[in-house]
Amino acid sequence: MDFPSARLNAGLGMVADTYMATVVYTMGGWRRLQVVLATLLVVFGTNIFASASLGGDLGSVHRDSIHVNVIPQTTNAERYTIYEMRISTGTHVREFISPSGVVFGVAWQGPFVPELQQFLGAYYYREYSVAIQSQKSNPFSRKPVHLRLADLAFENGGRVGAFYGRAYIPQAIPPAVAIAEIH
Amino acid sequence: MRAFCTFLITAGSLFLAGCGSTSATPPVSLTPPMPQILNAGETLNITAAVTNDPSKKGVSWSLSPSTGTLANETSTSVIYQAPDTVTGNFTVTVTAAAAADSSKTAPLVITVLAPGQGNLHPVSVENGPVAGELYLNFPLTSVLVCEHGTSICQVIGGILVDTGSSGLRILKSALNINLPPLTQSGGTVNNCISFVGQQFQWGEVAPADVYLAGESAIGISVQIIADPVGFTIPANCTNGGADADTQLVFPANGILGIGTEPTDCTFAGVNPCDPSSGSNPSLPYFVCFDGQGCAPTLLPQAQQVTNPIAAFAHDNNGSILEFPAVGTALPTVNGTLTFGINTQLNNALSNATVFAIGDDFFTTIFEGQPLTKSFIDSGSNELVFPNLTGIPGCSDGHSYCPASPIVLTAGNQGAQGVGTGSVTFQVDNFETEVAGNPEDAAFEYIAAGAEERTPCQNGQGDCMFDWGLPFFFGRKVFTSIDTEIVANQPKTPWWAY
Repeated sequence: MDFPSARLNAGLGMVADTYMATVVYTMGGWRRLQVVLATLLVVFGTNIFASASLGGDLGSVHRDSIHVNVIPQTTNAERYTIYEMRISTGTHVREFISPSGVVFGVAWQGPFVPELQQFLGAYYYREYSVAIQSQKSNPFSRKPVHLRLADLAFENGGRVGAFYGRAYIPQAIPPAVAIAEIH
Repeated sequence: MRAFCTFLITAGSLFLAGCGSTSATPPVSLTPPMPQILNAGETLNITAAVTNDPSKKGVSWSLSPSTGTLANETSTSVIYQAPDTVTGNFTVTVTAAAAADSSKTAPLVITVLAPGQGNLHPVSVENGPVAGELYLNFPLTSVLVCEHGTSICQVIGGILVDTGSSGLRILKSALNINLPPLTQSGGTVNNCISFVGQQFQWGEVAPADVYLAGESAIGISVQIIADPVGFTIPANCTNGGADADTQLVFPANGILGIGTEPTDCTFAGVNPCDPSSGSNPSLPYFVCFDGQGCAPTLLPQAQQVTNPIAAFAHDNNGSILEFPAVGTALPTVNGTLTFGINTQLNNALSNATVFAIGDDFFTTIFEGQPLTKSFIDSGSNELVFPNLTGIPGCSDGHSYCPASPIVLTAGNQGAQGVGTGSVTFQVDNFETEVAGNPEDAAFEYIAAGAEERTPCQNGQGDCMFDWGLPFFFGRKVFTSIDTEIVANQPKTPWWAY
């Protein structure tokens, strides 16, 4: 299946979404900051929202948190740091960042899968999307997703309104960290 | 003429006058104006009024299909007489046509109930609405959907009966009545549903009147599944997945979501989409403007895409879905959807075991492992469980293909210890069964999950046992609705069987 080019450009749509949200609703401070950023994006024709989260650095975590309008809670584990956000859909998202400053995993649990274009970043989102769209065996099955790509693992399970899943870069997981810790 | 009008209304919204009538008022109107429900042997008086009828010619009457009779026909009234003997619920339409202009008509839809079947609705596992497209284990039904407050209705077949989601969703391509969307600030209200495989369905939120057996859900919002024309679907809805907006991807005409929630934005009794929640606007509701795009929006619970059962006046606390045992394969299996739990003689819980749902799931113990995100779902067409016993997989990489049939046992555990019980099930070779029964739609012994995955730890990994449609074969499965009450039973939601 071809990858629809419109989806690759969806970052601009995201900016439009943001702009429209401001028209319809009153803004909090974070929202206002987001709008300023969005406006800058329109002005300069770039889209930092699409820059990496998975595989990115701490700055990308902050950009994620701006995008979802939530201040993350930080937990320092022995071998990594967790940034947790409860986004407005009610879904909890946790980003795992290694001591070397790389986001090696993202986990979620809640009513809706988080916006993957944002949390996977452009590169891994493209990999994921191509892979999931090529799953043709049963176009409308409700089997959980388990993608094992060269540099990305992606899992999603559950049912409508109650999903859980994670994405991680196997090569970026710090030594002595088990996959089961990405939750 | 009607189709022509519908097109104009859909495309432009302001061109009603272009339908060929100089008046927005239909020239023929009936009393009663909305669909009626009768029991066997009952009669209904219907009267007609014709506007712009100076010579008082009135109307002529017709009945389609001709089940029951029309009596005492006059130019302004008629009596519909339901048959004395009715073995299954059916629907007829009485139509009045203006004598002066037979193109001016008004319909009245009448549902006639068989004795004791006012809360029973037929469901069949069959090939479905797409010719040549065999989709296994899709439980399908028909729904009567009407333009709100009118008797302008359509019976839509090929609708998936889904205890795993909430709300009625209809492909726009299958719809020939006009259901205008809700609007906010001049934009249309749209809804997004996503499934575990990252398929999504997008479409307008439109009020409609939904009739099932003798039950009615008046003015509930349904989702009209279609790609938008004037804007693109927001990225957090598509999320990289597949658009299930056509029968090519979704081989049915819609979904009758009769799951554990009253709307598609109610989660454990909390409704974050309702303005009173204080939540920020987010999925699954958007307000969209042509040429601009969409913004997430809040929507009062009463306007959200609603589980029709929760909106019934009676029998609104849940449902029972049951099918006879199938065995290996059958071309068609007829089952029953019963509305309400412990509200009538025919929907008693009796000796079924209640399994409480905590955090949207219950636990299935399989091969000694607690699978903490397990559930029952008629919209899943196989049992899906992790391959903890080393069953050979099929070439599709998902389904199970053992050399000979395997019999397994798993234990279900409700939340907080409410409900325990073991289930024995059989797994046959998916490929040989499907290939050996090419005309069949119902298969009891098919299952998936064969691929190597990660173990269930910390609520991630292989944590789900999906008791899909094969579980319903030979069982009565009760699905209660969150926030509703079943007398003398644990707090909803729960499953029971």
